[in-house]
Parts: sequence; structure tokens; C-alpha cells
Amino acid sequence: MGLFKRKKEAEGDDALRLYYASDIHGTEVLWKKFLNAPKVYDARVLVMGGDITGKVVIPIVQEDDGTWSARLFGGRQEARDEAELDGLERRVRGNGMYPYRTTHAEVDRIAGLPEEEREQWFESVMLHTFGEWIKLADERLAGTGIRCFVMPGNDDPQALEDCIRQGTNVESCDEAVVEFDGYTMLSLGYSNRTPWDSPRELDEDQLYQRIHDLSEQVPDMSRCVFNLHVPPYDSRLDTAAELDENFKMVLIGKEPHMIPVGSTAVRQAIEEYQPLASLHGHIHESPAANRIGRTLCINPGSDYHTGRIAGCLVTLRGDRVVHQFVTG
Amino acid sequence: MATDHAAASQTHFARRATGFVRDVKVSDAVIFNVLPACPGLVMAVSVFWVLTAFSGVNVYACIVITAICSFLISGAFGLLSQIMPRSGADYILISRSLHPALAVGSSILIGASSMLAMGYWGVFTAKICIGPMLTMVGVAADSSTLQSWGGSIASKPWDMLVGFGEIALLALIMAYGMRFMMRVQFWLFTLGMVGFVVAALTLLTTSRSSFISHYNTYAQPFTHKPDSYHYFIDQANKAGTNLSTTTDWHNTVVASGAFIAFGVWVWFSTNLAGEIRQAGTRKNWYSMLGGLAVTFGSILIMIALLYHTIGQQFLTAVTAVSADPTVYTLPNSPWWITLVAAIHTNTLFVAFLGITFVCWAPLIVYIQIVQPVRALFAWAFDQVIPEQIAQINERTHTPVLLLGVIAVASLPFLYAAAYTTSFFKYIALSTIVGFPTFVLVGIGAILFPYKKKAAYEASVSNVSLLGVPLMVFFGIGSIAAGLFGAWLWLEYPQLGLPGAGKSLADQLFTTPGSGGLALIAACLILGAIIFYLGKAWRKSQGIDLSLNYLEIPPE
Repeated sequence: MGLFKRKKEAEGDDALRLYYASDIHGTEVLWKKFLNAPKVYDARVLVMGGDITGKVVIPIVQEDDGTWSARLFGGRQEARDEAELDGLERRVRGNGMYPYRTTHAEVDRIAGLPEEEREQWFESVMLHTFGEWIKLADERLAGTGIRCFVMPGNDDPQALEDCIRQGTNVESCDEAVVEFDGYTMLSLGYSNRTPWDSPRELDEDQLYQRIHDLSEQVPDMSRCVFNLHVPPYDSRLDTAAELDENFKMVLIGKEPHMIPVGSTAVRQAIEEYQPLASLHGHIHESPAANRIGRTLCINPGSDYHTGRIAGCLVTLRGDRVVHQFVTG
Repeated sequence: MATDHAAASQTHFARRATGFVRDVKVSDAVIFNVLPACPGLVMAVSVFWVLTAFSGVNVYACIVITAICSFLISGAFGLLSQIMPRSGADYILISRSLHPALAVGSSILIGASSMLAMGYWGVFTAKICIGPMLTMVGVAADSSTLQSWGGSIASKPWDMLVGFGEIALLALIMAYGMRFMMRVQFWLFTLGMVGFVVAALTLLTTSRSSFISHYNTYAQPFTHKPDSYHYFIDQANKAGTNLSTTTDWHNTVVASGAFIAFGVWVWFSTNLAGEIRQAGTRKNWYSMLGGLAVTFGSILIMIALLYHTIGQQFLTAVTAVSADPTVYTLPNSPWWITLVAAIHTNTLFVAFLGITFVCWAPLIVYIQIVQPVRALFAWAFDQVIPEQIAQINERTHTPVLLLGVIAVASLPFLYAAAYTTSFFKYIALSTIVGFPTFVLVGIGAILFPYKKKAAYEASVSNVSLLGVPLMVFFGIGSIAAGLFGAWLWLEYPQLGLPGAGKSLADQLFTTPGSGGLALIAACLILGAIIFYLGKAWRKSQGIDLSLNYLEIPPE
């Protein structure tokens, strides 16, 4: 039966399954799921494509009577003992935010800091948590033989790279070409310019130049995977709502005005180099797979606030690639 | 670029990063959830249907029963969808909580419901909207041409052709771009609601005696009776119509099925959940509750005003005698809008009422087109079917091919609705296929907090009542509502379902077009076939579809 004729070949031993996810934005439960993905999906390579850290710190303030309180989901949450406090912190972490035990006085002090100093304080909270994540990854991946590549995205601080490098079972890949199982992966976590002036952004010509420089280290583009945080421009992987100067969605007819916001440099690089596949994140609301020439471009999107990790299984076989979106 | 997002408060500290945007207002989703039961059209169909078919019916109670069912079903859909805010509605919810084969079957059931509804609402566009509107204006303007056009367009084959033209035009607008469609949707809805409000105010400011006087003047040229109002009541009495206002509770419960047919779809925004960012928040369910409030609130108010100004007895009588052309000689059926138009016969006022009433028609047809498109998208995204089926046009970013296919596929449904001798059969079949989905989503809502604990706990649906997840209560409620609706339609032939009242075995072992149960079984079997064929085909490509539906354990 023609429908099943490639079954035997497809299940052959030489196929390599890679699991890709990105944009988990500080959601601890998603990091744990990412680390467990090889067990469920039988993947040999893990790639975290950037925007790993969160955006919000929730102060959990100790009150005079010894209890703790925080504002979460628009309501006041209280913890009367250590067990309840653990539970509260778990809920905060589970929603992509960082819990921070503190006092009213310290909250007032941080609120009064200049923006630059407040960003530094925020970064220290993030890096502490991320350090714990790396330790967890080292524990879980020890002895499994699984290659785990982690790359910061445009929203992540530069210092995240140092944390990744401290891991023993986690490999840094940003601005590098790495090899696995006869394939190469070219990675770059920077994005083009965004309205938010996030920590790792480049102009389009700078972005192109970096990809171009890295591409010279790739021996065979037909066995190369691009891991570029920002998707190519106008590729259906990059459709997002247009924002005005106040970060409000531009609505036309009560509908958000959707526009392509990807990188022209990334598109140009893909068109020129035609790698086997190209993995992207950055635009949460635009999950899609699309071909640019022979290159299969993939953005699994992100639903990080739902506690479910949007990812993609990429099966590599010689110069062929098959993808499967999975939300775990 | 300077940003205010790092502005601190005592509740949280945020840093500069992408993603902090204000999303689409809840009101947009509310409108979307009102559309499956456009108040103007549901008033025209359901109220006049039940008044004659079920003597002693208490319409208020019917609406309350329907609103309760709708509330329970929306709870199951809303709470599940908040955990899985992806486009595809029941397919997404059932595949992740129960089984993908059942989910594909459910999708086909709702798709069948939408296609059947596309057929009969398409035909209704001419039959109860454009035709009566032209006749209304023709009477007011004393134009026999307009009255003649009104009569012609409401008859075969024009009703079918108008329906197809409407579907094709909507598909074209949707193919042009969702943004443009949303503008069209907003303005049609606004116009429809303005007309509805003006009609309500007209009724509110008109006394019973004033209405009788206006109606008698309006009807006199056609009935040649000085008091047509009481003439119709007398004739209905003579024909044995029960005009008593005493409630028959049994008939009221059965008649609620006629409102359930249109009123239990306020969860329809789950079809677009992936495109509305706030679908991951409680606003998802709140938008359904908003839709429910607008739908049932406006229908309740309009019925109260109709009873107040026109009178329940007359409404029942005139609807009953309208089936007898020797008694009812007016050119228009006694829809609520044509009765309101009898109050002020100023041509401009009547034209305004008619045009705003017509605005509802494309809205209710549009919502039927959305469902199959989104379902096929979700299947294609999960690779159950080839991705090419949901191919997006590079220029317009819309599924042009799929929209064209659905427009063409609507033709047999339009034909069936236009040329049937039993029009209500299609409404009945369209209704009955929805109930299994409500049951399946209900079961999914009960199981989800226990089967996929991590996803549940991380979601805004993680709310408990007496130590039990709220979703469980709504899951039970959705199952109860689904079973209740199915029981009404399978048990009582007055609602119009072919084979209703016969044994379940008789209803199951017949052709799908002759029995609701048979159609349900056929859809579920077809769903299983599609899923398992897709699974086998993908396996041959090295893709294991079952992985799509797993949750990764975090620990």
C-alpha cells in the first residue's frame, strides 16, 4: 500500500530526533518539562532557543505578624507558614515570575531605584534562579548521553551565557557553530530591533553580518540547522500585532493589525545559505512551519503562561527533515 | 527606547522585555459569542415556532432553561480553553483531555452542524430577512413591485441563490483578510443591535390599545376586516389553538429544545482562542458569559416588550393562523419585526428596521464558515491531515483555497434546505449533532485536572470549590446539559428530528439523514477513520501523532 511504503525507512536507526522549544520566559514548570522531553519524545538532542528568563518579580512581603503576602493574579495571596509559602512561591514560578522574599522597606527601596539599578537588581534575581535551573539540568541529564544546547534570546541578559557555561550537561551555543551526530547547528540569540529596547538587539545589517561570519564555519549547509531566535521576515512565522508608541495594539475594525515583524537579515541569510532547517522563536503568537526555498523554517510559538510547553520535534535523516509540533 | 514598563509598584517589578502589550478587549470576543444566536434571528425563529407548536409554553422559562444549559456548557469550554488557548475549539479540548480520535469525531459533528446551519441560515437570509424586508417596505411605500420582489426572493430558487451569493461574498471577504472581515462584523453587529434597540423602544413607547389600532389599520387592506387583531384571535380559537396563558410545564420543558438549538453556542470564541491572547486568562470564559448575557438578556427584554405591547394571546393566535392562507392574507409572515413595522408605517422607519434586521443574516452565516475552517486548521497543525489543506495565501494570509472549498461545499446544504418538505429537519439535525460534543468536553473537563495536573495547576482555571476543581462541576453540568438536550430532541418528534420518539436502536440503525443518532454515529466513526488513517500515514513518515497529545511530566 503506497501510503505506508516509507515506513521501514522512516524508522531506521540513522534518524536523529531533536526537540526544540523557546520563549519559556522564566516558567519553571516549562524548564522541568523541557528537561524531561527526551523521555517522552525519545529525542537525543535538546535545543532551548532563547528568551528563557522571566519578566516579573513578585515581592512576597513579610508582615509584622510573621505571615507573608503577595499580590498575584489581581488578588492578595497570603502564606501563614513555610508550607504555604512554598506553595505560593511555586505558583509564582509556575507562571513565569520570580518570587522574592522581602520586606516592605526593601520594596520601597527598590521602587525608588533608578531604572538602570533596578534592572541590575532584577538581573541578579533572575540569574540566581537560572543558576538553580542549570543545576537541575545537570542532575537530570547526567549519564543520559543527551546533548542539551541552551541559548539566550533577545530578552535575556548577556550574563545568562556565563550561567549556561557553568553547566556540565548543558552546552552553550550562542554565536557559535556546534556539531552533533554528523550535523552542524549555527546559533544566534540576538533579534532585530523591537519596540522594547530589550537587552540583546542588533540592527539588521549587524545581524546579517554575524550570521554570515558564522556560516563560514559550516562545512555542509544540507546538514546544517540554523538556530536563530528571531524568525525570517514575512514568513508566517513572524506575524504579530502592530503596536503604537504606548505599546498598545493597533486595532483596525476592532481587530489587531497583524504585521510581519521578523528579521530581513535572517530571511536573506536563509535564502542565500539554504540550510536543511531553521529553528525560531521570539513571536509567541505565530507558530508555523514554512519553507523558504529548500529550508524548512519552524516556529513552535509559546504558550508559556499556560504551563504547557510548545515545542517541535525535528527528525533529521541525511539531507531530509520532518517536523512535528508538540505541546507537552 | 525609553519605556515605562519598569515602573515599579508594590505588587510587582517588571523589566524591559518583549510581550507586554494590551490585548484585544473582551467586548470583541463577546460579540463573537453572541453571533451564533443573533438575537434578532433567534427571536424570529424560536419564539414563533414554540408559540404554536407547544400550547401553554412559558417562553421565559424556556429561555431560563436554555441559559442554564448554556452557562454550564460555557463553563466547561471556557475553563478548558483557558488552559489550552489554541484555535480549534472542541478538537483541541477533547484531543488533549480524552482522545484525538474522539476529538476529530467531535469536530466533524460540530462541522456538520455548521454546514447544515450554513444551509438553512443561508436560505433564511432571503426567506425571513430580505424577502420580508422588501415586502415590509413595499407595504409602507405602497409599492406592489417591492412587495412582489419580496415574495419572489423568499421563494425557490431565489432563496438558495441568495444564500449562496451571501456565502460566496463572505468567503471572499474572509479571503481578503481577517482584519477586513472583523470590520464588517463590527458594523453589521452594531447596525443589527441599533435596529433591535429601536424596535424595543418602539414597543416600550406603544400601548396595547395603540398597537391594536395601528395593526388594524395596517392589516385592513389585506384582511378587509375592521378589527384584524381580534379577528385572528377568534379564528385561532375556532381552529382549536390553545390561547390560554396558563403554563403547561411539560410543554415548556420540551419547547426549551427549540431555544437550545440556537442558544448553547456561546463558547464559539474557542474557535479563535489561539488568536486572542487573553484566551489564556479568565477573560476567555468571561467573554462567553458576556455573550450569554447579551444574547439572553436582549431576547428576554424583547419578549417582555412583545407581550406587553402586542400581547401573548395575539402573538400565539396570529402565528397559528399564519399557516392558513384563507385566514391570514397579509403579505408577510408575522415575525416580530413585521409586527413592530406595523406600528409606524413611515417608509423610512420601516426601511431602517428592515435593513438593520437583514444585518443579522450574514453574521450568523459567517460564524458557521469560521468553525470548519478553524477545525481543519487545527487538524492540519497537528498533522492529522496534510498541511496543504490549510495552506495560507502569501499575500492575504488567509486560507483562500479552504474558504473556496467550504463555499462550494455549502451548495448541497443550501439546496437541501431550500427544497426540503421538512425544513425543521435540518435545524433538528444541525442541533442534535452538537450534544455529544458537550458531553465529551464535559468528560474532558472532569478528567483534565487529574490527568494533566501540571498544566491544570499552572492555569487560571485552577479554582476549587469545596476542595473539588470548579472544572469538575462544570464538566458534570456540561454532560447533564448535553444529555438533557439530546433527550429532548431524540424523544419528542414535535422538535422536528426525523425518527424522534422511536427506540434508540431504531434511531441508530437508519440512514444518517433520517435519524439523529445515526448521523452522530456516522460522524464519530468518520472521525476515528480520519484520525487512524492520518496516524498510519504519518507513521510512515516517521511522525508519531500520539505525541501531540501527551503532557510532559515536570518531575
